Amino acid sequence: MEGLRQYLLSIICASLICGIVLSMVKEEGARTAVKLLCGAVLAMTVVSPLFGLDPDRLAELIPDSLDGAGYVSEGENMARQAMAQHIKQACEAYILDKASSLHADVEVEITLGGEDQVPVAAELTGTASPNARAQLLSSLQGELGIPKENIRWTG
Amino acid sequence: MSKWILAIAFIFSLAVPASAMEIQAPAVPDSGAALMPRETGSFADGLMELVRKGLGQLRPDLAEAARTGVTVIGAVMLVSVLRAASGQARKAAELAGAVTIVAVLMSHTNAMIALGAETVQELSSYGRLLFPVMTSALAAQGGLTASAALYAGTAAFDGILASLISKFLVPGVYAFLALAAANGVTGEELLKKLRDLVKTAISWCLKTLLTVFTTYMSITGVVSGTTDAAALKATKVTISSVVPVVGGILSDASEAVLVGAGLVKNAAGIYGILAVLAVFLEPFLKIGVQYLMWKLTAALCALFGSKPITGLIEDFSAAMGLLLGMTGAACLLLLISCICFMKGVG
Repeated sequence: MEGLRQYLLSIICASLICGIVLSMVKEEGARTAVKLLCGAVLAMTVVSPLFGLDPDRLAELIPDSLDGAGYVSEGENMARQAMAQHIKQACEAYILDKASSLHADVEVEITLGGEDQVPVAAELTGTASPNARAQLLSSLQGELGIPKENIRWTG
Repeated sequence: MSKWILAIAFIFSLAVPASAMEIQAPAVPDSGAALMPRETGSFADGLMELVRKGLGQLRPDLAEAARTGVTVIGAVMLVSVLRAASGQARKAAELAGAVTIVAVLMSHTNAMIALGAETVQELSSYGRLLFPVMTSALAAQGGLTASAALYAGTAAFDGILASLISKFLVPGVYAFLALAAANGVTGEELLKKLRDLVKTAISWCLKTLLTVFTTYMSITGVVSGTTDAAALKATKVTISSVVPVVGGILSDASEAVLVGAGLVKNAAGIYGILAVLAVFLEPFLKIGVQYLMWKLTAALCALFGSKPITGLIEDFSAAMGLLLGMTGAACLLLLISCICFMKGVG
């Protein structure tokens, strides 16, 4: 800011001095020469900061960090978590509905896995007739694609 | 029977909220808190409330600008009377008049320049908080390529504009005023040309930067958005063709998450836009009042004042115009960025 203040003062002082000098010179020939000289002095005063300009400093205008990969990953993770929640709850609702239609009183916990977050395991708790159990197991394997060895029935 | 069960499961899956999506725009800075609308659900209503509040705060600025205008008109009238004298007294009167006008207008100009520079920095700081949120929101909606590209462009141009304004353009306005004052005092043609050159350079910098930025955002949005849309479509087809029941659940979950992410992203975007306008509007109106008032003062002084002195008042008005350009450019950059993020995929 001090540099800017000095620069502005130098322009104003140079202009005032040139104005005073020009008003003092009356002769036509001399006036022309003095006017030329004053113009050159003013021009040099105005453009003088450009001589000290470092082109490398222009690169400082560009901010350091333009990489948004971190924020993109954050968004991806949020979507993945929301999707996992949806799928888990939808699969559990499907099984609970099936159990209800078979008059079985069960609770189910689905585990997701893999890149596509498909159901890979299930744990059922509660009471059901042998027929209901068999049908539920069949649904879990055939319709949700959960392997038999990953299905656990407790209680 | 199985169709009914599938239908019920489908309904259940749609009823489940996407509660993992916690994306919120950063809170409006203190400088914009007074103008920020209470409700940001509706953009149109929020904008109307913002404008009403902004205009309601203008009365003291209008009064002060009017007082300054009257003072300047009084000084010009006095100079006109003194100019009626001949010889050196006339020149002295003109010189004194120019110096008086510079002295009267400079303090207000200083305050407006400081306000404009501060507003640009506030907008840039808020943008640095808003862009990561919008990037994450767009990525959550499936716009992986677009979000990264838009973030890079927005961060780069916002940083360049803020640095350019603070390091070159604001000093450029001071240089413009110094040249205008010197020209008003001496009447030198060279100073007039240099003054016009500085003004042209500042305007050119702002216009070029905004043009390049808008072009970059348009092209990036189209190219990367199309890429993301194609990727999303391919993923959907793959999922739904894998396992009948699971495939249907996956596909519906994917759709629900995309819709949920889109809603959250747009809500954050609307809040962000209103917050940007809340920070921008009051300073813009204050500087705008000065610009218009001094333009009016110059027009009135042209009736009886000398050309150099009237020109000097117009130069101060032009300096306000340059400040309006700078603050407007910073605000427009953020608004365009928000809209590009909100436009989303495809």
